[in-house]
Amino acid sequence: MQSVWIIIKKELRGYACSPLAFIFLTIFLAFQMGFTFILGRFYESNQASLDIFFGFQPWLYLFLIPAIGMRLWAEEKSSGTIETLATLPLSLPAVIAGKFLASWIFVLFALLLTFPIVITVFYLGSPDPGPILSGYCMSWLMAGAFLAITCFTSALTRNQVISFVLAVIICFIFVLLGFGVFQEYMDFLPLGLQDFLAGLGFIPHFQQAIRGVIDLRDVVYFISIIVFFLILNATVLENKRES
Amino acid sequence: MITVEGLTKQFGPISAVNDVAFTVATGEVLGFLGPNGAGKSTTLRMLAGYLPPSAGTITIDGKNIADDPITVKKKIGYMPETTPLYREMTAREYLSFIAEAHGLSDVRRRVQEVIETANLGAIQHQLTGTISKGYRSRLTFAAAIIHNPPVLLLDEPTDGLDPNQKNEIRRLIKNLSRNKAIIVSTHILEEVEAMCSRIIIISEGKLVLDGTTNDLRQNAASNRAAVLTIQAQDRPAVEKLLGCTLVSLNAGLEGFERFRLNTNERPMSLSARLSIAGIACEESCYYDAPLDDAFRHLTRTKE
Repeated sequence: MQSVWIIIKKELRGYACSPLAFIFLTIFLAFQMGFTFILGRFYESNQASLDIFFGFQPWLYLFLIPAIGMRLWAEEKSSGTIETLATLPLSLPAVIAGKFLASWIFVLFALLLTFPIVITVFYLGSPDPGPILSGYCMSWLMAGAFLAITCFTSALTRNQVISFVLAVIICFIFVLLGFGVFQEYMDFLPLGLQDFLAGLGFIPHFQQAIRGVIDLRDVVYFISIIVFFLILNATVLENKRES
Repeated sequence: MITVEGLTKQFGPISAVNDVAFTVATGEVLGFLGPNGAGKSTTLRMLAGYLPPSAGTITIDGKNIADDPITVKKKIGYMPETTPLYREMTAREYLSFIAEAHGLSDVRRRVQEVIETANLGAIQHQLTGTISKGYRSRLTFAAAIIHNPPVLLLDEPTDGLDPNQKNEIRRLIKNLSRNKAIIVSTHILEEVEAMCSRIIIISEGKLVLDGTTNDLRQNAASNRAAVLTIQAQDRPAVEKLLGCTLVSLNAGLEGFERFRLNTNERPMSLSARLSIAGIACEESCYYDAPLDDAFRHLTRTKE
């Protein structure tokens, strides 16, 4: 536990000192608000809820979370510090957990900075606080799934751009799998398989929470995705020490 | 303190390290020599627990590194050849991070101590991405000794340093050697003479010598040679008398010149024969082959 905390501190310090983190925060907030107010016509919708705000999040995460996570391992590899890290008396699971948690905390920070929109809906109307709270919680959990995928792709390469592109591709598949329009293209598959694949997508698991229902199955789903990709991350690091 | 048995590392079809075995005791400084690409860094990386060996065992202080890597890693200070550093940290922050990772209780005090030992005061608040090569080496060296480990593995610690900095690092290593087992990899032979009590040489992944610097010299083919200092004008006469050619080494004072000759005869009997013939001989001794010659001879690849 102690080692996890040491890595979290180191990574968070990295974010605090890096201009990339500030650029990220600015872009995240600008896009989040731009999508909600301009594309989503937040005012015109005349609803005191954050449905529109949350609705755009999977698409925003698709590009922004890989941008946060792409450096996690790729940078250690390209600068050679992975050799230092691997020869310190820290266990691999602790280092992986530390790196993941630090970025996840950073995402939480970015998410919390969207608080003005919550103030706005409460000022303009009287929304149900339940869906807002459950939406935020599940949004963070979903961001964790995007992040775990990025951790995995970052471990595959020493090149941050490659890690970014791979993460976007894998995340895109997960976003599409549950997306209505895409569903029609899978008609040729047997119905059972269609349902199974749709069940693997991010969006259906997220939508319940926007409506105010936190289903334990959705929570388990996102946590399973996180754990699965972090285990893949560990496997890759164990097997790719050769270089 | 360090015991290595049958150590082998395969990278696909290439075997980088092949059945290497040696031991290092506390108080010893082992010079680890070999040409570039011989497998020095790969061996040290396996000892440091970074690369898993394909075969063989590494035991540090009686514990197999494969059985309990975390405990063993606490006993090792490792300085990688590439001196990797976290660019976004200052030198002091970097050392604190390493100290914390080793679970030290008095991080602040130890960081201060190694900053003084490695003479890093001037750059302690600078980002590591901006410091010079000499400071990078000293900083990674400081990080390797921060937890006062009984085993030190230094991969080319003086690479890229100027002569003064080299001397300083060598002095530090010598000072530390009393209660540690140290392995220093290098391809600079003068360095070995300056600080190592023992050497091993590997070539193409195989161990070719384990001994002292004297053993290395005796291994050289050029060892069966003698040096004679005689009057330059006597050269033809001496060549005729001894029946071999003289190779000029350097000119001396008052017409004397130093020559090398390949012979199995002892220098004493050479000078005796010359004095019987009435030829003045100022010096006769074994030819002290430079370590370079021996090194080249041992690591020459079969072509």
